[in-house]
Amino acid sequence: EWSLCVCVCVCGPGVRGLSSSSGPRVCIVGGGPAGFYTAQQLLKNTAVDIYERLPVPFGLVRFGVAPDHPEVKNVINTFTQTGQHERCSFHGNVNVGKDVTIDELRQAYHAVVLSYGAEGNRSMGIPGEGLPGVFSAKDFVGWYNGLPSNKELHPDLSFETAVILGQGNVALDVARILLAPVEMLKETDITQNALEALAGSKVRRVLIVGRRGPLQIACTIKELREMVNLPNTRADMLPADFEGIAEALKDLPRPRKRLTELMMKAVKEGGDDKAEKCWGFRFFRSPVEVLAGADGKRATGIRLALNKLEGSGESARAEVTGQLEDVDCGLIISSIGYKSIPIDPAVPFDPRRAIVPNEMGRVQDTAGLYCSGWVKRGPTGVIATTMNDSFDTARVLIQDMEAGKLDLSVNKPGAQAITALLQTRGVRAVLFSQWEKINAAEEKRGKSLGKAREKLLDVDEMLKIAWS
Amino acid sequence: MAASAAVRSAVSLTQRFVRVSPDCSICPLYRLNACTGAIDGFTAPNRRLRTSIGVCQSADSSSPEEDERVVNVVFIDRSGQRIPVEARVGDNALHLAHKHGIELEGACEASLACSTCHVYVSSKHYEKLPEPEER
Repeated sequence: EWSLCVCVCVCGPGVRGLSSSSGPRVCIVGGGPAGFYTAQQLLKNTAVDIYERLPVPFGLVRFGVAPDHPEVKNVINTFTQTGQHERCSFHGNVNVGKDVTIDELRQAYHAVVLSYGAEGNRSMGIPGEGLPGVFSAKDFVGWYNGLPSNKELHPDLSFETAVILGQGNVALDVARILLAPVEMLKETDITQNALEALAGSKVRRVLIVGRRGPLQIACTIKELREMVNLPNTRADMLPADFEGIAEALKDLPRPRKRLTELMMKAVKEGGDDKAEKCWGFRFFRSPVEVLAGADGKRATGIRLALNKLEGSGESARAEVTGQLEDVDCGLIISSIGYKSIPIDPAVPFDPRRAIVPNEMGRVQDTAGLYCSGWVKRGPTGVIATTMNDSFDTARVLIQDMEAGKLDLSVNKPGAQAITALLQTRGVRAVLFSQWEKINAAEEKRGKSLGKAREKLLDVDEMLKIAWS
Repeated sequence: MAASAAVRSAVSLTQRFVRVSPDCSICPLYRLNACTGAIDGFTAPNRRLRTSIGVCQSADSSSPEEDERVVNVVFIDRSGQRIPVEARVGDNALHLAHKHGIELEGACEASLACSTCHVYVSSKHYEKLPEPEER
């Protein structure tokens, strides 16, 4: 008599990763666009775990992209598919560098990818920078986009003139949000407290200041077009800043030419004289001091040094002339760049360039450690740039796997080990399905306010909903 | 320009099979020595039409008006594989690619908001397009 004994191993959704022959395991530090795009490509070859400090994923797509650019956030749909992939496991609420070290991750995984972006900002390095009324664009954007650490920013919007230092897309986003009619914003996912503050804002004039000239401006044409088309707002530029520009147009490469032509059009046409609000670029000016009022308690103006340009094109340099100019203003926003910071002493870091030194995404002198996104290349570029960069790193990592540069013969425990370790430290992760509960709660709150979503501003509130 | 902008050029079809030499010099795969496509003797699987770039042998049954709206598009993926598909004037090029399982990223899902999908148009065809408008 034969009897057949069948042993069945059942793997439910909660027991991923317990099988003994597990295959390659990679983890990614950072749940923003770089992390998700890198994961998307890696998932074809390996299991991927994403560690993110906040309970919520998506990084700058959630906290950086302007509320009136919802189509740019459509990429969240792609990231959501990645997050829901059976071989992908998201762990929010885990602070890598504090709750768990890079070395501990490297022991648990065959490879680790650093995609933690740039959470710091470049400082102007001028006296008065710390005065009330002066903000980094990173913090101001974080404030209207609901970044928990910026919820107490309370910017004072009761002054007529705001000055923004820097002329990239972030600077233009800030200018546009300051001047946009509330009707344009009230159905977006801008935070309710920012919406109310902007509704009561007395800011009527925004100057966007750059060190160099119109041909070096860093913003892209879409953002410039949006400024030109702002309702009830006119452009206020200095014709002197544009001397020689018309002549230079014909030799410019097409994207730069179109951008410059649109700017020239705004200079020429100016806009509706009856407009209550105005904005303008101010070129060849560098900030040298934030001026305080008589009581010295807050910013009331900014002192700018006038520059002249040496050289031309993208590599033109600003040189001091010695002339100065004071501008009265009550709100100063410095938008001169984000900056990465070191995450862990075990990871090489280049303090001058503020990136993790690497060769095509392979971290210098550290086998099995990779990087993608802003922490790899520096904090510039749009989502498309980060996407291509992340795909490059993923490709390099897979090549290394296939070339035997990563020892895949050793089994690595992956999230199982890290979760156990975190538990001993009192840290509990938020899984992707738990983020989806936070997501649903935000959409529900938004609905009652006529908005796309009302973001939760408090991490503890997020955790309570996630683990409910 | 965004790939999601409509495919505007129509290719007229003849009953006679015409062999046309494609302009490989504008193709990035050719320039990178990565082209693996063999033009001669190429067959489109599961299709009634034998295709070469831009040319189609029309079936007897389709009417001339219908033919004018058909555009033959060949996608060449990064491995050099040629994927011919049939499209219509007005089709969205990104959606067309996705419909045929071709990997093309479009982060903003064809809202013209992000530049992850984009096309390079050869200068001689570019000249035929209308001037871009700032809107």
